[in-house]
Amino acid sequence: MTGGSFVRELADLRQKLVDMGKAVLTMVETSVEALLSGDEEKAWWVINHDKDINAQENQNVDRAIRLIAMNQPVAGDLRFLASSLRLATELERIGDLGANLARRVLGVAKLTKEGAEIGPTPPELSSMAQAATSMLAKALAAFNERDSVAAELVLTLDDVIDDFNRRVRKLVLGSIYANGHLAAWGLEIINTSERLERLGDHATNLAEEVIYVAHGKNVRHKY
Amino acid sequence: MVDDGPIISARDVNFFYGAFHALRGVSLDIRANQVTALIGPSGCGKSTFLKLLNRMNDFTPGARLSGEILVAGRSIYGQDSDPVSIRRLVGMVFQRPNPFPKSIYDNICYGPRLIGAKKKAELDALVEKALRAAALWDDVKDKLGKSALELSGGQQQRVCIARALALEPEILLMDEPTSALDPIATAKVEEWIKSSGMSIVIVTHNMQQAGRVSDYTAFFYMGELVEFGPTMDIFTRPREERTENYITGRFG
Repeated sequence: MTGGSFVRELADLRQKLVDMGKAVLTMVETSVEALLSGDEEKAWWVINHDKDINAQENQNVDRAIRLIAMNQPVAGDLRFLASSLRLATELERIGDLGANLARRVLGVAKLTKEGAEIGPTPPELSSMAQAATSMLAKALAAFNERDSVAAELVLTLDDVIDDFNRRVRKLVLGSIYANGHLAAWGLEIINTSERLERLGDHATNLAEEVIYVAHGKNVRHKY
Repeated sequence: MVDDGPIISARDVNFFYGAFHALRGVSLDIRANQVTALIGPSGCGKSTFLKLLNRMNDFTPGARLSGEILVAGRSIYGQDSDPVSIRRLVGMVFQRPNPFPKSIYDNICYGPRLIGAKKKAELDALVEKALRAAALWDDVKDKLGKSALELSGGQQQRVCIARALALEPEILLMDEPTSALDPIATAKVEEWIKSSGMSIVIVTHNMQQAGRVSDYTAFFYMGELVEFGPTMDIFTRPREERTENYITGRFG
């Protein structure tokens, strides 16, 4: 039923998804660098890169659909291909989040140029950005290595990110209540924090796919 | 479909063709009113196992069986069991359509006449019932006197199904029933299998067919039953690596 070329094409699709994962991780890392340094050039690089990821999503979805249609896959092959469709979409959304984070950097830079009041970046936001990036890197590594044990560990990390988000939000709202002129800046920071929190959710989704591909066990919506 | 528990139970079945150990300790419960597919590479023992279920290997030279097979609770290899009555209970459809060179009507009546059915009204009713059950009635109701050999391959195979059903078996064995048929005829036969509600055991080389028609799948390899379970599980997350390798085409 399945010849050597099908096996090669599966390996090729897997590599394309690994490459797409590396690309979105670079986008997120770069946007976090931009966030922590205020580097607008880096932010623009991320924003401009997003369309490449969108194109990769379409190509990888097309590849997976063609392989499903032509080979009627079963068992592990079927799970991988079904998962590929979701993985490509997850990775594309992670790319969107990277671009969104970069836009928040530009938003704060614009406020600064306009002379608006800017508060101090909460240290929790930096920690949160690092934790979310690290969680994404671990989820992608688990996919690369087909390591469902590592994926299970990733699932335990999301609570930390959620907790950071609550703390950042509380701190920033406190600043806004104390000084209404900080509202525009505060909204950008809360927005940034929400994006990082979503990043944790998407890393969770990636890890759930790794577990599904490995064992056929659906753990989605349980974390 | 109602799942009424096992209608066939194989208990530690070993089967030999002379010195060749064709089945090795196969134990398997086949559930009533469900379709069970037997899959595996050529020579794995699936057809041998199927044939044991209605004693088709009785006259195979050098054949020897140990273990027990219960059909509807009766041991079919017990001392007092009668192959003829077993085959009334367990019908069979073969790989190539093999209608008798007779009319459609006479094909269907052949078995019932052998066991004493004579009245025309009774036979007419029986023919209609069997042809309807095999989803062939509308195709042939106006040409029952026509030779069955003039029908298309798919129709001939459904005549064979109807002929088997005319004896009202509790179980139908099908040995690669669509391997000689074109895709349209295959679809008709598969549709019948899925909608029949009967206890069916089907041997197929076509993995997609097993996936399409069966509720349960048994994977045989080198005379062993490697894995048995709901078809959905076998085709999405088999437990055994040998099953995975076979169904994904990575053997050899």
